[in-house]
Amino acid sequence: MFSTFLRHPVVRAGYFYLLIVTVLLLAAIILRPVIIPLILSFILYSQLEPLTNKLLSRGFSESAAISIILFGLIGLIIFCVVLLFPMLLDQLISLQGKLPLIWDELTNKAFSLVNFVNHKFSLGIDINSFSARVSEQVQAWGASTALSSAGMVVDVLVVILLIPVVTFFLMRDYEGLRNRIMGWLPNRSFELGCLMYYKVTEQLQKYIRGVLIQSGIVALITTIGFYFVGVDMAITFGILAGLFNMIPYVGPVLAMVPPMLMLLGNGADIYSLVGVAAVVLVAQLFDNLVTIPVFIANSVGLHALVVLLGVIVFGYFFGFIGMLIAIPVLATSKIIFMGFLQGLHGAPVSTEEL
Amino acid sequence: MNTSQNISLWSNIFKRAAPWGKRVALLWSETPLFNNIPKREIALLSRNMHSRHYNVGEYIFHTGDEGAGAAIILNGKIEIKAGDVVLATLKEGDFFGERRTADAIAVEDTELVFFLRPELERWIKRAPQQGAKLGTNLAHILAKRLSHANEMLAEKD
Repeated sequence: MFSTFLRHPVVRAGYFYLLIVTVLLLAAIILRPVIIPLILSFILYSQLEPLTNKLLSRGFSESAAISIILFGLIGLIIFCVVLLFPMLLDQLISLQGKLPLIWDELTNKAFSLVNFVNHKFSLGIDINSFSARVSEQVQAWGASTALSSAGMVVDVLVVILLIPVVTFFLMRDYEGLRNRIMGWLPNRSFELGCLMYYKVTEQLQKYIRGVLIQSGIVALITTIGFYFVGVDMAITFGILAGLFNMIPYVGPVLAMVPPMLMLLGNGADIYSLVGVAAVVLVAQLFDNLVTIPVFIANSVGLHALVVLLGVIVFGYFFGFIGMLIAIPVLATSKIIFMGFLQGLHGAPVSTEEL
Repeated sequence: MNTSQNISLWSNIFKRAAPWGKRVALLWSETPLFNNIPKREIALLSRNMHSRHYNVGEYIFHTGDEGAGAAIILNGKIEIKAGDVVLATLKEGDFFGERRTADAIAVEDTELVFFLRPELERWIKRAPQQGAKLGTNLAHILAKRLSHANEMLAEKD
């Protein structure tokens, strides 16, 4: 009875799936110091690969095609470092300068609210000891942020230098290495294994492209909107809103928080806060009515509840990065598991069903 | 497995040119499937084809299997069988598609090179004109095979 259960295709698919997950987790742990540049390089490679193929079919040699794209990429990185990076850095430095004032304003507002509630309902909260505790916390947070910021600049530089190098090697050698790894599959699993690989990469490629376009559009709309509402550092908050937008359901709410805090700290009125909410809402409407149907359109095929729970669980365990990777990880897992299941059932191989 | 795949991964991790690449491109270019398609395109395609080795007596596919693409015989010999009846013997340069209506067994040590459907689809997106030519060629091949099957049926009657 138990041995029948162990031989059931779903259980056997589960073994293979766990094996793959374990291997991937081990690889992620070993490659932890370089995992971010590796992931970013793979994302860049996946988006640049169709361009390489276009250049190849137009008669360019492989070296010429890779060189053209690489020079374009390096140009783009230089543009970002020379033009955008100082602008963002200026905005972040000005934010750092304003933070104590914003914090004072926010705590004053919070304390007056607590005082009001305290008197109204006679709760007996000791507001002064609470205030001292908060102040200590803020100072400690400030010191740790300053230290981590210094480390972060070094990390960012390493990532910026590594990305073009890794992307170059991926463009030159990835397909050869991939074909060699596929060669390790036994003959009877070869065709199914290849189809699963292509299905996973095709979905991920489409999903990443859609999300990048989606985030870019949201960042543009919110930057313009925040600027007109009168939010300081509209570009930084716009880019942040674009990044937050990669997180389904929770992202739009998160996108409103930093500009609203900034406005509250600056003593802005309720209309400005409503303005920020309206900007994010307009960006969301455009996203749902135009961007998603055109560029994403159910590219991952997951149920809305699975997406929602997945984002919360991944966010709980892995933080912000976890929320970003939740959907691609879940979609990939689904394809791999269904592929194993289909293969073990001995069903005909079909990309449509994977 | 081909020679390049027997070499350890670490000894030449970035060496990509498969020694059979040119030969595969040449063999495909001689099939009716790639009639009128430039050699350069076939060479580009063959870079992402996959070589597999089958031992004597090993099944390559069973009746009813739906494959992941077409395959060409680089060397060796395959028998196509329905039960115990040998329908055809395929040798170097012959190819078969993804609809498998009989069993295929290697009767010698055989090396096949697979041209997978996803690679074909990507190629058609990248070079639609060449893809249309391949579609036309495929239609000609199928029409020819159908007419051959009809003749055989007529002879039986």
